[in-house]
Amino acid sequence: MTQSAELRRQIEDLALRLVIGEPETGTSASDWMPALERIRENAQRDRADDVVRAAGAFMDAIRDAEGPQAAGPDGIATELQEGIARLQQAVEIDSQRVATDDLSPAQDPELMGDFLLESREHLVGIEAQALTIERDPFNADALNSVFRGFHTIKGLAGFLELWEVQELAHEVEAVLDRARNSQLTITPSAIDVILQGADYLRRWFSHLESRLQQRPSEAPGKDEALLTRIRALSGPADSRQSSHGLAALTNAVETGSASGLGTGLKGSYIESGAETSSAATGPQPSHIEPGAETGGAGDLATGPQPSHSEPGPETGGADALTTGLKGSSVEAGPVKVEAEEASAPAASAAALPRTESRAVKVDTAKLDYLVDMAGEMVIAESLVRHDPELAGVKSPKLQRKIAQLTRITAELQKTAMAMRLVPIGPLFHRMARLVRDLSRQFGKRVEMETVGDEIELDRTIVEELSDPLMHMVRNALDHGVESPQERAARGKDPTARLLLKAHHQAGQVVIEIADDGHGLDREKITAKAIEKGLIASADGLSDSEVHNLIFLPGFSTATRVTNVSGRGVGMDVVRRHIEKLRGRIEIRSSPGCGSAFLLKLPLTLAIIDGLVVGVGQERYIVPLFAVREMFRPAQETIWTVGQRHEMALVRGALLPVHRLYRRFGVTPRSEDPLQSVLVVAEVEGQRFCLVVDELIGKQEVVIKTLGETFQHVVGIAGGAILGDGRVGLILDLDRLFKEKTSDSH
Amino acid sequence: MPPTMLTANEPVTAVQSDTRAGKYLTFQLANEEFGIRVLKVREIMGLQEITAVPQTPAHIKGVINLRGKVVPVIDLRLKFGLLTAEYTQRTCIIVTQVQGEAGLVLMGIIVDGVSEVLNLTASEIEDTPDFGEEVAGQYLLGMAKVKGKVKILLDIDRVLSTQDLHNLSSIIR
Repeated sequence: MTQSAELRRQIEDLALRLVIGEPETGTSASDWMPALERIRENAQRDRADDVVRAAGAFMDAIRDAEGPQAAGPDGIATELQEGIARLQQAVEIDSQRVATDDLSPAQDPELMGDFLLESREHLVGIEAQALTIERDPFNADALNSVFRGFHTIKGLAGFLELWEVQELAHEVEAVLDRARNSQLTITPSAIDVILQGADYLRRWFSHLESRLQQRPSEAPGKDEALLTRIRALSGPADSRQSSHGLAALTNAVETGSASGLGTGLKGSYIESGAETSSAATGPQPSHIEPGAETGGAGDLATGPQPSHSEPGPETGGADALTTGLKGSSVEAGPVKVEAEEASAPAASAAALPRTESRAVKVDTAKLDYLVDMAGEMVIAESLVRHDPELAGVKSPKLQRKIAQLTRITAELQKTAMAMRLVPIGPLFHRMARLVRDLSRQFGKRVEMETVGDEIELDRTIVEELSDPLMHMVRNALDHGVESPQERAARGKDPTARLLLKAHHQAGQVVIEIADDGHGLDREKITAKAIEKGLIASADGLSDSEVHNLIFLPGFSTATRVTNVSGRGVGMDVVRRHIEKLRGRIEIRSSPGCGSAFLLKLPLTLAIIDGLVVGVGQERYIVPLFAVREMFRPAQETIWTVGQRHEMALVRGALLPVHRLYRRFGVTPRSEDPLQSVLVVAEVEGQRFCLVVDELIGKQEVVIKTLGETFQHVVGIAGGAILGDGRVGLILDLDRLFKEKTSDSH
Repeated sequence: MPPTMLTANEPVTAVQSDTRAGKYLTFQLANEEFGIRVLKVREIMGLQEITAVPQTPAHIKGVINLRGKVVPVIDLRLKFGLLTAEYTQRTCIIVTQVQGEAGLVLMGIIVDGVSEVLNLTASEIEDTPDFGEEVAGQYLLGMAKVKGKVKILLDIDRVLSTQDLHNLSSIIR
């Protein structure tokens, strides 16, 4: 191990020579070769493979750089810098490897991380496909997909010695296998069990993730009850234990000398080969609730008569006893036959086209680096293009070449950006599960539909959108949609529709959450707003102003903890979330017909359309999405209030004026507002004016964080590299404005 | 199994027992010579245009563009309460990699000029004498005597601790 320390020291020496060394000694390859040879020898002795490889590649690179196509001293210097960085990385990796070498694969954090990533993807697929099966129990593709998901998780879990995970996945897999072989029909309660299984796995995964990040976490206990429920589905023998009623039923039937029938009874449903084929042809009660009472069972035992066969498309191939049993159970009453499933439009769940994604997993840090470099390239290109010396060269050929370079660079940047985008579909489909659970909980019937699954957004936005979307879906189901009875009374379809729709509009993505419930209730909202002291009276407020009241902090009644995400939040939190993503939220509502929430979001968080303004010697970037207008004020525009505050009269409205130079302690070019420009901005529905010296232009900039050093600086959202390579600061109007208002109090 | 674990940890403990010996980059600051561990140095660059960030203490000069990364720059003279000086040809920015709250961060320091790299042995390094002042001491690793000259060894992680900067900025505000 001391050898490894020596290796490390040698590499550090090398890095040192580069940082400190005089340029003239560092440009010749021969200066560096002996040191590199020594490092490689040492590394070979230490069996530090990564270092050996890095050193070899490094030497090749230097030789190349010095060869006939030499890029000059600069080229070598760059090679050296990169090569040494690689060596440093390699030595880190090798030393880490030594530390983890003797551990079993189960302890390898990298394997575990991959496992979690992959398994979570499978869980998402499982959930979506399970809901498809619920609507269309005979969808073989969806069934296979769920099966494959559990199967893969089982395999990986076994490899990583996660026995509990493996056991559960195995049990569910067994159930699904029976379904695949048409030995079992999937019912809503079976779906319940599958989803609970998925939930259990998810709990395990978050436990494993916490452990991976060295955070304390308790392993989820073995859920025997769940396992029993799953086993009840996968084998008839177990069904007796799981339900006394059914056990009695089975016994009763068996004593009726129809012993073969027993195998046809599963934990919660009855099935036979013939049913399986016929059920697809039309609505048909296809299962019996597990709560079957013994009374009914006794009935069955005595009356398994074919003459009781129920009307319907049940075809003759079915076991006569089964048919009789079914018929009598419907007649006997105590056994509730669930027909809901049949009423669901099975046709709409036509197998989703399965697209095998040809995707590569890439570390987001690498992607960000690529985006950074593409941005740098755009700047370098622009510096070359605008170089005064080059501008003096009047050569059409050169112009063409430069134009070509410009095009390629722009394309490169666009592509790099696009790599951060992901489709919104999976997020929408995650809501399907929520809609299913909530509609049951609220006793409402809701059909969810999605449009525009393929629309792509920045992955950060998609991740951040999950919570707000959940709350809005919950709100729609809780407050928007009426109960089936109420809907029927109003002449509406008892099943409500919830639409999640994404589409492009003017360079933005619009996400719409629309329901066909009763819409926002003006009376209710104003009453509550008055009660909470948010407004004095609703007189003179337009409908849209009333609707916007629900976004005010303190309006929300959601004080109780919900089970949606563990906590209740109001629409003010939702709006803040959306604005943090630089989006806007709008409401459309018509009484009796439903309401829609529109989220207008930027395509990506990495780029922002900015208005570059000059204040004194400084330049700032105002996010263009917040800018409403800008103009040079006239004498009668600006009014002072008590000599301290200023207001501007813009289109008949008085707006507060903030002088940016005062806020930032910058010396302006002129104190006279008539010599400056007013920028009207809007944040959270409130407008205000910023006084700046000049408008420099509009520019699309890549946002960079200023890092933790400046995290307490109020009013700056980040930095961006401007066209000349300098850093410009992006204003955080939200914080700037809020701070200002609290100042003036 | 235990022996492997031990050897894996050995370099760390070896360094800990003798933390201060090693290579230092020395630079001048108002007639004094300072040194920081070479491992912390990423890059040395000439002075360039710095974008000022409002509402920050005076020693935080602002941010620069380092190949697409936005890197904060601290004027070390101001940070240590020394007299300001005109920037000269020799003035440069040492880009260091220091421990931030959430991982390593790059930070530039403006110094009067870079001198050399010294390999200091443990015997050349002494503890900081007690000045009766606690504040100054916390930034120092120790003092080194080399060829009759004293070099002040800085704990650059502490000097550039963002927590410290925040405290300062909250005082100023």
